[in-house]
Amino acid sequence: MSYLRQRLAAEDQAKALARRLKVKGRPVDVVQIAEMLGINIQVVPLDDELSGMAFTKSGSKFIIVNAAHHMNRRRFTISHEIAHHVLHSEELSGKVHVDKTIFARNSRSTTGEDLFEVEANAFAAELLMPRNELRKVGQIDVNDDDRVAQLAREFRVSSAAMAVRIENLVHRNSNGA
Amino acid sequence: MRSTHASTCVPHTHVWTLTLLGEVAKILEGKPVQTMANDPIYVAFGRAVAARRKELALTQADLASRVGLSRGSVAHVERGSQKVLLHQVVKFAAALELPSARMLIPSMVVAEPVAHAERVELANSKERLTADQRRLIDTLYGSVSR
Repeated sequence: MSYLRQRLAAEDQAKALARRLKVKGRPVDVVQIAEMLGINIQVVPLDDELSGMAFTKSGSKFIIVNAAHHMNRRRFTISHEIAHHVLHSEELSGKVHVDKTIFARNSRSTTGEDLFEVEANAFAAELLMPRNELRKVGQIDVNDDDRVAQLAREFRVSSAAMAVRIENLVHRNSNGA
Repeated sequence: MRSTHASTCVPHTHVWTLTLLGEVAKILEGKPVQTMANDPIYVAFGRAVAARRKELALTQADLASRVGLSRGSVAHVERGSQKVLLHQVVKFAAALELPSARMLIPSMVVAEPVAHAERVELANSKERLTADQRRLIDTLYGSVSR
């Protein structure tokens, strides 16, 4: 079970948000997006295995992100937590959502472990690596490490996140979805 | 799948065991060793320093001259093998263009339990957290404000 339908729906939500906020070009400024959504970001050193948290307190939205992680990883975490605020605010109300190691890969979605996380990862991927921006780049061979690394730098994401994104896009296109 | 998962879950103690084995090898080769495993607080501080330094595209030497330490010391601090004094923490924060030294201070220090910290309910109960992590989350939740 790969939750393909839910992933695509989450991507569409990210795309709609980017359009509404007039987000353009790359790299995407996720901190600014959070600000525009009224979400307060706090950067705090956490245990290495904790990536971030999302919660609402006294009506204010918060994201906490691990200061000890690489900037590109923090950008993915912030996007992932933005997704929780946008997609799952009702389910999360009165609770603190804690993300341990966030997987930018497929392993999690294929186990069907947690729909929220699958949706948040799909949303974050579209926000940071918009399908339309990647399409402009043309055909990308996911096995071309240098090319993947170069694109990762352009979009300010980890190479791992970029590789997964490219794989997912190819998969989706070949599915005719 | 299983092996990937296992590799992400190796407890820190195992890493230390390996580190210590490496130190034993150094003793046998007659190389200088660091006798104690690095204190996690300094390791976390060092990681935060290194992450921020790289973000600013500074070299260890650049940072060293900003804080008035040798490049070697900065390398040790980043590895967590050299302890820092409070005034140095403040210097590091300024050199790394951070608004607050708190951004470099590991959460286990920042998150010293506060009496009135609210007990928070976790949304994702499936994620197994240690007692320390739960305490940290409670405290962070209790302390954040706009």
